[in-house]
Amino acid sequence: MNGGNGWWRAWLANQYTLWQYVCLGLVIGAGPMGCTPPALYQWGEYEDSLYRRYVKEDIAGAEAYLRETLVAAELKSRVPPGVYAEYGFLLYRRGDYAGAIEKFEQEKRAFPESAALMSKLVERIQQQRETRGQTEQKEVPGGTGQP
Amino acid sequence: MNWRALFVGFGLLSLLAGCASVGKRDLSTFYAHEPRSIIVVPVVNESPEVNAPAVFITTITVPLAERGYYVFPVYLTELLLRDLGLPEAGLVHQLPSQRFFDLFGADAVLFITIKDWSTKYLILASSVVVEMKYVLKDTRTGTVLWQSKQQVARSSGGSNPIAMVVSAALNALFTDYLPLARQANIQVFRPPDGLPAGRYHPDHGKDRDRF
Repeated sequence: MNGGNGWWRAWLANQYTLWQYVCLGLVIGAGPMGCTPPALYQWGEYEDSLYRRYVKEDIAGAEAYLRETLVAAELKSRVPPGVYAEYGFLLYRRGDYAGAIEKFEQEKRAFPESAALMSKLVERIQQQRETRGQTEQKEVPGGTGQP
Repeated sequence: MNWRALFVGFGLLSLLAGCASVGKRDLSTFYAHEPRSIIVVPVVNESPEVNAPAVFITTITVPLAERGYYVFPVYLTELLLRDLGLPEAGLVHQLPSQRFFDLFGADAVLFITIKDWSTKYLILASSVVVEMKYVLKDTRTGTVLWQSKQQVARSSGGSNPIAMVVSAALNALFTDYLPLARQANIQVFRPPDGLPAGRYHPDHGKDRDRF
């Protein structure tokens, strides 16, 4: 029964075009959101983390968002500039000096432009580590310098 | 699918949102120095809105880094500067640019001044405005590499007078400047008036005709 077969085929083909239209509709509907060029980095919650810190002054929230950003970006694509560094600084503040150094080194490897600053921070943490016990932990590695 | 139509539509939408940009377009100095990394220092606020710099600074990193530049982490930058005895944006803006090379190893420093950050009331409508001035300087020579001004305004108005009065009053309390600041930062770095694509952008070195 060739005729019956043909009818089915035509019906299937119709279904196919129907779905094409549905998909097209979806794409057009999503157009305003999706027509920006692909991002270079996976930013995740980075802006939210900054907003928490600066505007809401919610440090715990800022840290949680920053950690999420880093974990997600490491899994999916390139970690954005500054994220390793900010996270390293967070670890430093918690007293995790080894963790902080590791993150600063990762920032340096990902972005050689940061090398001068990261090396400086690592060096200062190492100095602080050696004299740990004698000095109080400072807000920024190294303490005072001249502007 | 007509992508061109979509883009045109998008462009028209942005026009409706009321954006304008004025800037100088001599990029020869920029190309002579070609910065790879940019440090954004705390912004100077010339508007009466105290919160403006805090809101603004959260929106600068993404669009600038997405143009292909290494952007120093803004929060860490601010803390380090504070630690150096520079808690005021005004003082930071007066530092010789060379200092940002010595302290951070940055190729260029971006000074931003908030010129306007307000809600203006017309008779029955209101208009929210943000306006910033951007100056990018080379850290070795102090030369201005690029500068621009960006304003984004959004007005709300309607035909129902009572609803308008109510919404204007509510807007005054809960105006959300964040999307406007974000939009301004996205627009200001884009061609033809923005920054040429940096090292990490696929268009790097190929977009000179667009400026």
